Amino acid sequence: MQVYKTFFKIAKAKLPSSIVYFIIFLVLTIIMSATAANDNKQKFEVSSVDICIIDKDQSAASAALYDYLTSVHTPVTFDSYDNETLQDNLFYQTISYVLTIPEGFEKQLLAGENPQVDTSKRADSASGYFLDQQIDSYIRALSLSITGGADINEAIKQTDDAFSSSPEITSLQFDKKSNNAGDGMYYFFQYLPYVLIMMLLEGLSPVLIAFRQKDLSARINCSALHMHTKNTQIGLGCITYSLGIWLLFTITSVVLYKPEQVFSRNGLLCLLNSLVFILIATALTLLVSSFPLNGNTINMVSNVIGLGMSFLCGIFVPQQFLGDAVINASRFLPAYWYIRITNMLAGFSDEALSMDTYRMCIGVQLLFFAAIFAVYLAVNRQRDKNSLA
Amino acid sequence: MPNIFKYSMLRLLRNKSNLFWILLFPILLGCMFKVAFSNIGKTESFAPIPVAVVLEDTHNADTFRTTVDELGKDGDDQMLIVTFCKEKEALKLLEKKEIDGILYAGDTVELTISANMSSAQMNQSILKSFVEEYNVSASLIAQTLATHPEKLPAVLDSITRHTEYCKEVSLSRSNTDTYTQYFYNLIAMACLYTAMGGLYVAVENQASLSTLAARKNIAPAQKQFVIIGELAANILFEFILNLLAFLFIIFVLRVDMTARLPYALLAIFVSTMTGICLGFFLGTIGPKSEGAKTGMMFAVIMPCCFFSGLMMGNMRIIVEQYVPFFNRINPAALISDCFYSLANYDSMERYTRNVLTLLMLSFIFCLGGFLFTRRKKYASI
Repeated sequence: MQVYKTFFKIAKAKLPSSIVYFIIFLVLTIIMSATAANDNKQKFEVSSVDICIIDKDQSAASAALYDYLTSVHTPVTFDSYDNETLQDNLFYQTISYVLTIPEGFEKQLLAGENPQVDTSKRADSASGYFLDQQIDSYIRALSLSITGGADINEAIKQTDDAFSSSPEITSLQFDKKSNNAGDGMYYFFQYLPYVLIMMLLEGLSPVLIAFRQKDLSARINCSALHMHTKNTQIGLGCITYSLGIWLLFTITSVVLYKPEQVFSRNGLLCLLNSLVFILIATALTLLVSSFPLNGNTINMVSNVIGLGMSFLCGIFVPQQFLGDAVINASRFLPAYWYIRITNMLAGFSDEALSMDTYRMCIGVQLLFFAAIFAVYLAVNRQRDKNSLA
Repeated sequence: MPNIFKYSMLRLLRNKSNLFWILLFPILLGCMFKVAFSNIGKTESFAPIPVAVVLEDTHNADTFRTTVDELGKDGDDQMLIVTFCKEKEALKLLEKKEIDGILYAGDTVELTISANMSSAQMNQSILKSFVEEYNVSASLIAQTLATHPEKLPAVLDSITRHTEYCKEVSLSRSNTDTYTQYFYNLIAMACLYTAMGGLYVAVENQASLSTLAARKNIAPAQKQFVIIGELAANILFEFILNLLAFLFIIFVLRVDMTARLPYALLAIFVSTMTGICLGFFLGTIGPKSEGAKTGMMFAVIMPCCFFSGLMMGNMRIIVEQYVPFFNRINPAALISDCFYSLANYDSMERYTRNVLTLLMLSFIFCLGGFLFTRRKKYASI
């Protein structure tokens, strides 16, 4: 097993560049899981928006509007309310909405004029539209009560009563299992393809390329070692390396998300999915290392493949946010099918969970594996022929 | 010095890995950002909501039907896509996730939604507030009827008038969306990556670091002129590369960064200079091997980019809350803020402050670099 041992000696030397990606991945998933923890709700709640309210009127009516809005949304306060602070916070999404209630708001309301409040939101934001609607509807109700002959305090009371007596929302649970698990584990599996590709390309391909160096391979080939034995040992090395990385991630997921979640039905389906994907990543690595590349070019190639696939297939940005054209193009990449499964299991997408779809996605990934592996074999054969000539 | 300048340029032109990281990598990432983010604004903007309506046989239900019909009309302000059906059918549609909610119209209007559709949360909220408003108006009409029946016509009149109370006020020059900040940061990253070039200038001029430098050090040329010439060549060459990447982003990807273009170009030039000076400074301190120096350079630059928001869009404002000073000296944050303030503010104050800080940083780095390289003597071994 000399070749096998050497394989891991080289692999060990290349480990640091591979481990960097493991650490990046850990930080990324931990941050994502932490932010996702807030989103994991069993009960329906109105989307709460971070909103900044500037009350220049300081009247009963403006206070009532403030109370109504803050009962649904989160008020945010700043030290100063100059344009620059508001714009910066709006742009960088600390707040989604700015409402200024101008002086004389209550007076106008009582006089039956239509008071206007100043609002600012980010371009094209649905949450902003939603708030416009809420503010309109509250002021409209107030103004209706006043038109109906109530004074300001009566009007506020009537309006608040009317809002609180509106029936509760019924929320139906169709698929009981899928929403019980925390979302964290799914973020873990969502980012996994990126890190698998990066780790294998950065860690494994330098080893394979080392064995392919012209002089070195000539030297090994003229030794007493059978060509067949050498290839088997290298192949075995690849399998051990890939499976080792897969096990590393499986163990990490168990540590992060507890065994009962990872070994639940959905967790196991995710694990199987990732096992299939690491086959693809390994085949891809084999293919890349058939070309004579140096460390710098491997770095370039792996960044292009890894980042490209991640952005196009919905690893970094969820698939439902991507345009139709992008989605259609990404069907020709293996990660699309991987992510479709994770989204379906996690309930991130609108696709209802079905085993038929699961089997289809796994099948397509296996076909991708077969295709890439076949290309690798063809390239290899061609290269060997050329080197013999 | 002209010769040094010329040959530095030629060497840079032939350095393929430099071309990739400074020119092609930002373009590639830019394409990825464009592909990934171009649709997000659209999903956040408003599209009609698919709903099922189940009508019971009440007077209120009839009125509700007319309201829903009105809202479901084709047109720019269409709010709902309505399917009238029986309850059983509606539940099936909801389970298949084909609709976002079911509206039951009896004496009051009630809303049922699916707990398995986290992706439709905003639409569910909008439906909720629509139903709420409908019920509130109905209850207020009933109340008026009970207390001041003579005011009823006025109330009904004001309901049909449907006044808008919100007035949109813009806080800035143009209403840019948050995703453009990724492109600001991308340019910042590209400008700082030029540190690689500055680092090589340092390595190739200190005889203890490379054989090339040893050869150059015995040449009868003054060291400072050699370094200045090489730095100048680097700044010019890398500026052209950064400029090409920037032009690609604004003209091919059509990202809206064209506000006050000459100032934007000046910002890129100054940023490139800062990047190269930073690299030159880092090349003169710290570990000896070239690999370790490059590692150290990335260890400095990548966190700068991270805290400026290259990986997470709202990082900059978080830093602003806790350590505002870091935003004033972090080169990546300064560069991206140049573009941001050009796009959003009429006043040039913030832009000028950013550019001046960048110039000052360049000067400090450059000075530091020269202090570490000058008057070095090497023993013959």
